[in-house]
Amino acid sequence: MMNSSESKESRIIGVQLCKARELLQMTPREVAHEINVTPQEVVAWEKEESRPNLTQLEEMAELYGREIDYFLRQTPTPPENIEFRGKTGQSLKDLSKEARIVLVRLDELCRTALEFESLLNRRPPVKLPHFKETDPPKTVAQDMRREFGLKDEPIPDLKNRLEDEGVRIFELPVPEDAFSGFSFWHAEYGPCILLNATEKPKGRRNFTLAHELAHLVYTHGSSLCYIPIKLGESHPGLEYIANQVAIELLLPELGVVGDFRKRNLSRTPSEKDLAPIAYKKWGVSIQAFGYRLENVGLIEKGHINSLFETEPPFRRLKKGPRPPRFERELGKRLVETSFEAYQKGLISIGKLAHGLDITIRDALKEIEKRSK
Amino acid sequence: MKKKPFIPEIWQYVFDSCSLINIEQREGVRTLERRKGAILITERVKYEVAEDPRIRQTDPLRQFVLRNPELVTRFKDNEEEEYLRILSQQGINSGEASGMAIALKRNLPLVIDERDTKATGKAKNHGIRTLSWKDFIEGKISRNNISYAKTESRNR
Repeated sequence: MMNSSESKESRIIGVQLCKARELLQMTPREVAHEINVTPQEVVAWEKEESRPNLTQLEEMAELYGREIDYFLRQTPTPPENIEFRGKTGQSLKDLSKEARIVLVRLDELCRTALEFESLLNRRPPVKLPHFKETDPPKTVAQDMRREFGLKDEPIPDLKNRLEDEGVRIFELPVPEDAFSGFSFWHAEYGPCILLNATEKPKGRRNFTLAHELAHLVYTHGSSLCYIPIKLGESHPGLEYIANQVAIELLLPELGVVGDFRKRNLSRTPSEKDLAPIAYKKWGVSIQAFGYRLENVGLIEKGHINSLFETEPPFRRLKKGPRPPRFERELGKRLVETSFEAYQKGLISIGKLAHGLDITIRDALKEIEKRSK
Repeated sequence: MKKKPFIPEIWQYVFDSCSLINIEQREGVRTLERRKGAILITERVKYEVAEDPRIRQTDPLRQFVLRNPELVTRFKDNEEEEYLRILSQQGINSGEASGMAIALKRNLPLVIDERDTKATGKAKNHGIRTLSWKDFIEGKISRNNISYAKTESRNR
């Protein structure tokens, strides 16, 4: 039995304090102002020349959007050198603190997933392919479709397929629609994608997923992207390439052309004509679908933009109960890993609740539901 | 309901959130009300069962805890340090760690979900006496073995 009174003082790791601050792009001065200490004290804590008391530590945890245990254990470094391809003229620094906190939450989720996987002694293999910069988007998309065993039909469950390939996918609400998606390869977390859960309809998120996947397979680096509803207004360069891959992957030319002709639609179809095909069959927004139709010359150029001056109305297609929020946000992989770790007695119920971002009462209900 | 006066019992127990929820769900908040003099919770557990903004205003456990601030105990002396040390280990959260730190330093029994092998195992490794919420209700723990709790009630 361990005699705790003989043990050493716990260590508040300065590097962890520093990493948490830097991900939010805050200066020691800004932190000091928020928690009412001097900037010198913040720097001294980060250098481990002195240590904060518990109240100060709790204030920093709240400010940085972290749990206190983040400062007590060495954890992987959050994604670095993030390239922000947002709305014109915006830089990462222009993101609000609320939007940057979403990146912190993503890092916390990746850290939680890694912790549970290490407790289970299981690390899912990553089977995602890599492509060269010179590989054309069409070839990349076709290769990936071949990997999935698909010809020209829609991809009904891209998210599940990618999770099976070892990609961590999370859907979190991003305030102010600040960005659509974020992707990065991490030495320890592996390939990760974050989707803005507030983007509606769901087809838009499906497009963002394919877009971020393109960044991953081309190894474009940590990419924080804003994808406008009108695809023609996207950032040039890498964003254009990623959009092309997404279009070719989700809307293969032969499949889309065949489908359009079979339905005998005019060259200026209405929203009502396009909605069931775009949303229900191909799982994309009408804009993305229309962009593709214009692209292959099936409808008149500019027709889609003229249909919508603004964003299309949100339609919920699937009726009936929705899965709980944590399942939609965290994806099946982390949810299953969390419950398995709990069932095997490797994590406590409090840790399970924290991992799933639900209350302990809700965690108890879920456990009961799953045990039936 | 008329509020009963708070009289600390001689024998006190530190609770984690899960045990409080289980008692409230299965036995009703009246059981907690009857035994409130025996219940000690940390500020972190208070947050988890009463102050978390996701908890409904009408939640009976939330109302019970807010009605009885005497249940909540703060860290004293070197308990903060113990809390951080326990929290630095994998697999447990801050509510459980805070309960363990207080139970350990004040030599009090910890009421914890017995299915919760990780937290329970860690508590036992630290030499903390643990019992399940059912054991607490049934009064299974031998009172002769926990005479140290008397000191705690004076220190609250």
